[in-house]
Amino acid sequence: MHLDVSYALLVALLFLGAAVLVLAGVVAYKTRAKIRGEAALLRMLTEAATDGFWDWDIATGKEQLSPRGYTALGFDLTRVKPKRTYWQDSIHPEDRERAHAAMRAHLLDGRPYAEVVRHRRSDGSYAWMLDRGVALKDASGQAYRMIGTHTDISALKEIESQLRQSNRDLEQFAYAASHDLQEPLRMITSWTSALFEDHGDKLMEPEAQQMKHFIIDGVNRMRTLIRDLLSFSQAGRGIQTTMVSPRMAISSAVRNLAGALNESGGRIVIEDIPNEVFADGAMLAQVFQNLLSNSLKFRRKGVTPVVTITAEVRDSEIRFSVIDNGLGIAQHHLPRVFEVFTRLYSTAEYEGTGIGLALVRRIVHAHGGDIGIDSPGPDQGTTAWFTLQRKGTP
Amino acid sequence: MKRKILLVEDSLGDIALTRRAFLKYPVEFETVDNGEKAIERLMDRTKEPPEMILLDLNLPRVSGWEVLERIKQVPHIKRIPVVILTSSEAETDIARSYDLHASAYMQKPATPDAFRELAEDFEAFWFGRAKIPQLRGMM
Repeated sequence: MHLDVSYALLVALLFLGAAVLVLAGVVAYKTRAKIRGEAALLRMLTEAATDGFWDWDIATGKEQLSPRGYTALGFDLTRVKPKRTYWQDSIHPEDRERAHAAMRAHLLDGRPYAEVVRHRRSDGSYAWMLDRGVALKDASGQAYRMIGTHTDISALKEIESQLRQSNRDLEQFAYAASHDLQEPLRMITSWTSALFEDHGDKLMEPEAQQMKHFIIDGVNRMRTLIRDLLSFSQAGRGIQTTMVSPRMAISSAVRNLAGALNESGGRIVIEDIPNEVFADGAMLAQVFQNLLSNSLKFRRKGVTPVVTITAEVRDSEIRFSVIDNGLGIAQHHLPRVFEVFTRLYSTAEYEGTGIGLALVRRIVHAHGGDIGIDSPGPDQGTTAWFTLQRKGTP
Repeated sequence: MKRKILLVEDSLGDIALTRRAFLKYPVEFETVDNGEKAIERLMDRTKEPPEMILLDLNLPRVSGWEVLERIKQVPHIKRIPVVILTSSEAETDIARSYDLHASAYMQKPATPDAFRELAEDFEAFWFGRAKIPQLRGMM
């Protein structure tokens, strides 16, 4: 997850860098048109930049690349002189249609041109390039030329694919491990019971009975842990997002919490929330269920739990909040509550394996949302919030 | 007359638990501990076919599904009811077993008591209520 974040940051930085360079390029190119003397400055700029520049004459189809564009694809310019259409010709066949469509869209209605496309290197392998550009238009609004930059992001792509593979491996590992771990557990419970069935007369002392109790209890806890680990490893997998009703998700969560509601005498108040949100319905229900369950479980002694669900629309997002009047969380514990198997209380005080919030975070992240928990402090209630997309991106 | 069941199971603990659960019923278990041996045993024309097969899915060499797939293509043998007895409760495992024509799917119980209940139900249904084909002397 940390890697994901740093990867996103890197990409964001690259985009920013490329944007600045395009701008610098535009300014430089325009200036050159006016003042010949500044061509030298442009040359210096292109040589200093880590990105390559390209310049495409739309009428002739001829392209001009800064040397960086060719060296990035492995050409030794002192020995080879690539064709004047090499850059366009070298686009991977599978990416060509997409790149052309994006370029047409830019020329037609000025949508920004920024595409990640694969270009063939001199040795036949492919490099991932982030291609950005802007069209220059004449007085009649006709585009006659496009200029832009390209950034080699092959290394990032490689890390991304390794990360995906490693995530898949981990999920598979957790799944297999939890299945295989159940087997020996079943042996322990079964044969402990069998031992007491067959030899119980020799094991009548209360100590022996207590030992049996400890074994069975430990095994049962282990079984719950493994089951939770399994659901954690699968959380957010096979996500299917559509427009769903948050109210329906909450009702389904409340139905599953009937026992806890009864036992605690708790009340759930749903304030003004939107009719629709872009999410996986079953996963959203799971998120509400885990958050509500925590609010009901970690209640203050002698205080009827009241949990309020609210939502706030912010631009393209909806931010849901689940606010309770329960135990609250000390400031210094807040950073760790989302970690898997992290618990703030002993199992004797409150049942649970410490997976609930970790699972919720995984689901919210799988939706591309954000999540957090705030509390003014012990005995002052807790607010859990998460964001989801208001609408699906077309 | 004891009913003959072929138990395909690799875990000694599970074999013992199964025998233990069926102790008071007139059932005779013959065990094989991998899928390959299960197929060999069933194809062996010199041996009487069993009346029922209890099949684990997670087996060494040849999986329970492969065993199912193979024996459901063999005349006479494919008539023998195959009941899956496994620790998995995964929806996909259940679906795949029935797709391959298993007669029933049961999850291994977690305690000897629960195992005995399973044995009681199994005996009452398969050897009481249900009619199953007689293969003796047909091979």
